Amino acid sequence: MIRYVIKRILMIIPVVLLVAVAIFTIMHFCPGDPAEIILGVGASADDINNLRDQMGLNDPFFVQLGRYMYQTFIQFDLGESFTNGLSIAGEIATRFSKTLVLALSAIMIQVVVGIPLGMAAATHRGGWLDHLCMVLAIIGISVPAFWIGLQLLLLFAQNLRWLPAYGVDTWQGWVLPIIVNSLRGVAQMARQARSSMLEVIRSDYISTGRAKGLSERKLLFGYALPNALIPLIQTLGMSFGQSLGGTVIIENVFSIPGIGQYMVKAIGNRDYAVIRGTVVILSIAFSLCMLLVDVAFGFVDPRIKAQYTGKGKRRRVRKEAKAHA
Amino acid sequence: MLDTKNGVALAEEDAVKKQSQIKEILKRLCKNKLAVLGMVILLLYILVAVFAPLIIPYDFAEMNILEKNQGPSAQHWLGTDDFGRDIFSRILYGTRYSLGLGIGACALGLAIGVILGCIAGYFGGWVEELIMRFCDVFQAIPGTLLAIVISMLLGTGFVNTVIALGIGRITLNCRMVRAQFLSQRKLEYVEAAQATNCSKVKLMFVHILPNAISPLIVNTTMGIGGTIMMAAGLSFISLGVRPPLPEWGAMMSAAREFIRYYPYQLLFPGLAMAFLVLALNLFGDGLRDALDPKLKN
Amino acid sequence: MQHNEKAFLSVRDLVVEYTSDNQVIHAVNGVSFDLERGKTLGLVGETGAGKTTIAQSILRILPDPPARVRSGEIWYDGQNLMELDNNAMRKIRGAQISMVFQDPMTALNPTMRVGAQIADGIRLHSGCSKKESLVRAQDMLEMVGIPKYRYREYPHQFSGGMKQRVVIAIALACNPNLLLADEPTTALDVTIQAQVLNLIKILKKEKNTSMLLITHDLGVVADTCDNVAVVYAGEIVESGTLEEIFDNAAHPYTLGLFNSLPNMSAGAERLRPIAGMMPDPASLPGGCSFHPRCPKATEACKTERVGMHTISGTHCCRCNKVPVAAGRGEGL
Repeated sequence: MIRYVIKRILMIIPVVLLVAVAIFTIMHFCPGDPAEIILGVGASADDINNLRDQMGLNDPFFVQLGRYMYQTFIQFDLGESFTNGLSIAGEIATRFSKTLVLALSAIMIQVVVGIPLGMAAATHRGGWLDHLCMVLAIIGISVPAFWIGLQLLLLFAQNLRWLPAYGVDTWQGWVLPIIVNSLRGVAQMARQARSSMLEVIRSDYISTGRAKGLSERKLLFGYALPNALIPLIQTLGMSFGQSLGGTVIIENVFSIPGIGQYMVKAIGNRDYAVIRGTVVILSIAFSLCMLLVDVAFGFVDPRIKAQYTGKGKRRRVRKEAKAHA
Repeated sequence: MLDTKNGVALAEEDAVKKQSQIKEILKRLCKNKLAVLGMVILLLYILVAVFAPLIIPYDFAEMNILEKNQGPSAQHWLGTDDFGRDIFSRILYGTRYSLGLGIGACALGLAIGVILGCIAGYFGGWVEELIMRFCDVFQAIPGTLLAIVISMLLGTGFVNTVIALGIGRITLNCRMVRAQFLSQRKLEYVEAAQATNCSKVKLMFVHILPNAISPLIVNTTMGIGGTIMMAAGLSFISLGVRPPLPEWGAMMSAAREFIRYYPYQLLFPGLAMAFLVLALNLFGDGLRDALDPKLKN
Repeated sequence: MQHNEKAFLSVRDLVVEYTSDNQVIHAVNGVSFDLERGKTLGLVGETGAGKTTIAQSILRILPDPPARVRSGEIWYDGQNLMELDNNAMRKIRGAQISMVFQDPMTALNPTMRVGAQIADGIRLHSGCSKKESLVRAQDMLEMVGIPKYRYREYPHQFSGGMKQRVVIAIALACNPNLLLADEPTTALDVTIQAQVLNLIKILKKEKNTSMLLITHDLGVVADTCDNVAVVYAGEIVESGTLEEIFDNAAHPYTLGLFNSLPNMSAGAERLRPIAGMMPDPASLPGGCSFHPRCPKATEACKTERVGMHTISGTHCCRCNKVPVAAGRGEGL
């Protein structure tokens, strides 16, 4: 099992490197000259060219790529922002916690609210609870997050004055962003949980359990639930990725000083270095998350664990057989 | 002689079977009331999008500073924005952009994804490995971020945004098609068909792709809704489709500074989008249930 | 009609319907049979005849939204199971009546160790400790021919035949009096089939368990059953002892079943299937449900409802065209 984890970690490394290469390449061909951006309008062509030389922008593509990769992965230096010259890695480090709070809280709320909702809907299939949950869920995946965010801000911050209008200096400031960021995820999770549970409930092994005389309660929590939860791990992982992308918008709406806001400002300023850095970091975070998902599968589903341990298991079984012979 | 006659008879039988299959699917779909509701609403939106230039009361770009920031009235059913443009007309015309972006991007992602998946599945070996690693890399980048990056490369505008959003959908479809190849490879009838000298291409089109169609269709339909919202999100952060074009996300972004005094400017485009995406999701759900009734019950 | 008080299991007039998409599916249409203690009754019929529904009705584990027991009595050990409340029924399930399911590949919980799956039934019905129940589970494994130490393994680590043995172990763990075996060997290879059947026979003999064996394989019936009931379209069309059915089959359907078995010695060129297909249970034909496929059908068969006619002693047949014994016996 450990061997599999290590193998998976090693597999992430080339992916992450290639992601950096891809992002760098795409941004390299973006319109706009960084040197011009830094010096601003009205700078002379000579000054611009000198700055380009200084920044290494006149070197051939592969040299620049190599330099970038070396800088990023060996020196862990993401470079400086074009707009204010501050270290990108430093900015990201200070802002990362805010973004992480948003993303992680969304995951937690999905698990705590979304999964029970979906399970309840599945077990009361066809009843009013099922219909209510599914109606709410389908609305939840249909409303744009930034729109509902702004509407709620209007309601709670302006009209009712219960919550602050921007920023997260107090805990009240976090309430709306976390709720809004989680909405879509909770709705998706409720739908997934419901369909997963419905499929499991119809399984033959549930009939076997019932034929043993087990109570419906034991069947639900002891047999159905563990099996229904397994595919939801994947959903959680994908949701984390969506959340990371979504924070860009949410932080903008609620003026939260996280990575998303950093990126949006950079977009406006055509600050390619910042965008490069933030996208690479967030992609690494997502890859690590998916790695956790894969490993979690291994722990939770014995069939997958068997796949991971593979040949090792056959050796072990033969050993055990000899021991008991 | 006998063989060709049987061959023709079999082909006819096949065609009849497919027709009745499709009829069955349509029947199941129509029984689902929510799906029908979704279809009707969707159809309305599509009609609006197609006939927009003919039905809008005002030109969507027509500015009238004297009438700016007015609430809903008899003259302007949904009011006017900061430039005096009629919001109702802009919302109606904006249907073109949202639907166009959603359908265009998903269609693009579907086409390229299926082709890549077929190439990977057909050739196998290092070609397949290469394409799959390619997918791995692009899947590691969260969807919205990828769209942002490509948007910055291509610039704003309708076509560029379609491409930016479409590229993010390629890996999904590619993996789905390739997974079909994988699972079909193991099935016995593929071996049997190969034993009877059936060409690989024929296998691909006659056996593998038809099985992949259902999940591809459902996924694409459900994806349109998400893509529309992502497009609006891009416009919201000043990428995507820019004003004065009446894309709903851009409209909402512009309405942001006025929500204190003119909340309706934000409300209506948002409602328009929510209903469209809701209709798409209802239809997509119904489609999924109709294509595989076993999943539903 | 009175149930047979002397019989161990007595089913009377069982009618079960499924409702789906506003269609009513008549799965079981008035089935009655008796089973004596220690004996094996084979329910024979094609897929879709309603055999599994009958077995599931006895245990009352039919999926309740689509399925519904319209009427009927199931007398077991002096009680009508249909009248018991759910708690009382749960005490019977697994302990007095248990079931072996058809598909071993899906009958076991994939995320639960095999020993635990056997043990939780034991613990439920005997109230012993967890440790004790695991010990007994290991004993059960040994009894079905699986090494004890494998109780910690998961279902996917076993082959199909071994999985079915585990299912049998689960079913027999609490020493039930009645075993409902739903096509226990259908999903297995022929050689494994023989092993599993043998196992069932041995265990049955050891514990004097009564068994209701559902199958579509006449060979299996010949090997294990004392009595046979042939099921078609939710009804029993012929019933009797093993010898009576195999030597003197009367109902055209039963005759058709025997005729469709390929006869290796006669050297036939083509198989002789029964013409046509089993009727759609949502729209059964009027009169005798077999008449569209019956070579002996007449006009009367299309409209007259057919009761059971006694041919001799225990041998009954649901057909108007069959000569009956003098003095009509009580039709079931």
